[in-house]
Amino acid sequence: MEVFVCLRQTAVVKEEPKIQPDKKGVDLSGLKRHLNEWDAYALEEALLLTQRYGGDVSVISLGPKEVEDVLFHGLAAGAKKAIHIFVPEREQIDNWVIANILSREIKKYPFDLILTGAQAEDDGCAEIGATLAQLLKIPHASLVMKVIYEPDAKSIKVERELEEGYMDVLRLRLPALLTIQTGINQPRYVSSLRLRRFKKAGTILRVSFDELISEAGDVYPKKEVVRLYPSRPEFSKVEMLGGSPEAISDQLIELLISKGVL
Amino acid sequence: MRGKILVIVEHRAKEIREITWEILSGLKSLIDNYDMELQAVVLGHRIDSLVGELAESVAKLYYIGDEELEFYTWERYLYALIPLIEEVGPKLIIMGHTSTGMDLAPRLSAAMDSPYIPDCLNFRFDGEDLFVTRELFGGKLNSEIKAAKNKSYFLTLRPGIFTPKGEKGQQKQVKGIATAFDKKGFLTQFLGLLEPPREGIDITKADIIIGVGRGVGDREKVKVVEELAKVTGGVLAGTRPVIDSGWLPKERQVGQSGKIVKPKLYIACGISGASQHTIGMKKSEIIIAVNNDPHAPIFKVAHYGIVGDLFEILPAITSKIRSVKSPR
Ligand SMILES: Cc1cc2nc3c(=O)[nH]c(=O)nc-3n(C[C@H](O)[C@H](O)[C@H](O)COP(=O)(O)OP(=O)(O)OC[C@H]3O[C@@H](n4cnc5c(N)ncnc54)[C@H](O)[C@@H]3O)c2cc1C
Ligand SMILES: Nc1ncnc2c1ncn2[C@@H]1O[C@H](COP(=O)(O)O)[C@@H](O)[C@H]1O
Repeated sequence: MEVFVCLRQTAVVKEEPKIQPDKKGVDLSGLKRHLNEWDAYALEEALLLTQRYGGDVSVISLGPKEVEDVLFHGLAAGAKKAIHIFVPEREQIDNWVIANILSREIKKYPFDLILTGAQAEDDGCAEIGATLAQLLKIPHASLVMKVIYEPDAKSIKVERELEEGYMDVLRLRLPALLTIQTGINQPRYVSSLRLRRFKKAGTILRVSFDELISEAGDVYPKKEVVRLYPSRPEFSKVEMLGGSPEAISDQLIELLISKGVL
Repeated sequence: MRGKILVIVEHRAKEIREITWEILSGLKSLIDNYDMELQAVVLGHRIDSLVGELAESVAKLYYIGDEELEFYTWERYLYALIPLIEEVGPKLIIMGHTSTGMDLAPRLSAAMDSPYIPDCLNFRFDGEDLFVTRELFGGKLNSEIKAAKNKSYFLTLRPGIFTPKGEKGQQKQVKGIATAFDKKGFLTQFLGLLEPPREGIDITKADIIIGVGRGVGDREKVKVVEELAKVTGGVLAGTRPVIDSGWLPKERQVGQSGKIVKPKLYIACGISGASQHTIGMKKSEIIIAVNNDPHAPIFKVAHYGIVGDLFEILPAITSKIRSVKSPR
């Protein structure tokens, strides 16, 4: 079973992300970056499936030079091939364009399954997986929590998560695309030593975003960011308790007693 | 702006889902200034009672009834909806940003070559241009987005931001639509709907819930929060990452894919406040949040906030309550 996993590198935001002067993007310089949380589960699921049923995992990521970190992570975790769709600048690229370019590159190879994360931590769109499936004209299931391969029938049986604990059980004909939900497995640990080794000796296939775009011809963004601005809590609506931990405790307990919950 | 808005109805287990009512009442205020007609489409099998209920809330309802549509799959919905959307020609097609919306809306919009903007908080037209607001980075930033000009647009709206008003008008026109499925051609087969497992404790019955977030750090440190639960007589619950990592059992998950809780008191400890979590606890009577990030979105739903390290704050609260409860 040949499995592609789409990996996105996301910035780790501790406090408030800094907005660029043009107010259209986030200033990512100085922010730590890592593999999108959902994609770590997608990668693990791909590795588990190929360990069990044979075949190889390929990882693919679109972005600037830095995204090779997540591709090396994929190789170090057990993927056999890594493809980097190189974007010269760290610019905002519309999800429709990303999905189109990913589909054009993936189509060049044989595959049975494509896995993406259910959503990206940064944009929270949950858009690229199902879009990619439509572009490739293959079935998909999103928010997948269980995958069973049925080699004889060339199909897979999946459970996808709905709200409040409900699950759908579906059978998809292969090739298919799944968006993976967290908790489906426990992503393996990749030691920094191993990662360094792959960063030195691992190979990444580099393809140019610009070339793929000009080949595609008529792919245009379907939305654009007009303005970013901080979304802060309104401190008129929430009462902040301050002071030492002891002082805070005193206020809190008085409050809870007055409200009758203690 | 003139034109039609088509809402794709969600239902499960013979009930209209809350999100559909939220959208229908939310839209009424969003389109107040426009000359737009609110329509809806419901797909299903033997759901006449639902159809009647819905027809009182919109100007026109389309009903696509077929045994193949008893349960949602992207494929059946896609094939049934494309011809209808082409015929009706709505300006906006709207769903909730739910498991169904996330599954269907990107695909359907791609199939129709229309712009799609997910998880919107609102929308507005400026002339012919569509603008929406949505959040980035788990609620730390807002982003205003303009859709590329098109004859129609797809949006999903965030669950839990509009309150269903329950206002009903007269029953309006229901238009039945027939479908002709090529059943053999299906790539996706529906095999069954699994109900939520009913095991362990039922956190929805608790009066006091202490919520554990990833900020607690690791499984061992959950003890610090557990102490607070003990002295307050509360139960522990957690965010999805806490459950995924096995710090707490699945039945304790609060949120969109967990449980919806409305206790008298919810204390959120090291929880950032992602929408998928807050939808499960924001109706609690008193919400207290402890987080060392003053900009954490959890403070948008909290009534009382404490900025600080939970490992300093919680033990202080715990020992104080202990001394108040059992004075020497
Ligand atoms: C379809 C779907 C369904 C989902 N369903 C759910 C659901 O049902 N429930 C749910 O919870 N999530 C759900 N999620 C996941 C959700 O999007 C978030 O990823 C999750 O809620 C984040 O959990 P968290 O707040 O514990 O972790 P984080 O977002 O990592 O937040 C940790 C917080 O702890 C704070 N912190 C760190 N250290 C300390 C310290 N020492 N003292 C005080 N504060 C500290 C940090 O400032 C941060 O705000 C769902 C996601 C999707 C896509
Ligand atoms: N730049 C990218 N390169 C490769 N895969 C991506 C990229 N962006 C998003 N994805 C994939 O699409 C999924 C959903 O992203 P999104 O639709 O942005 O929420 C992610 O979890 C990734 O698997």
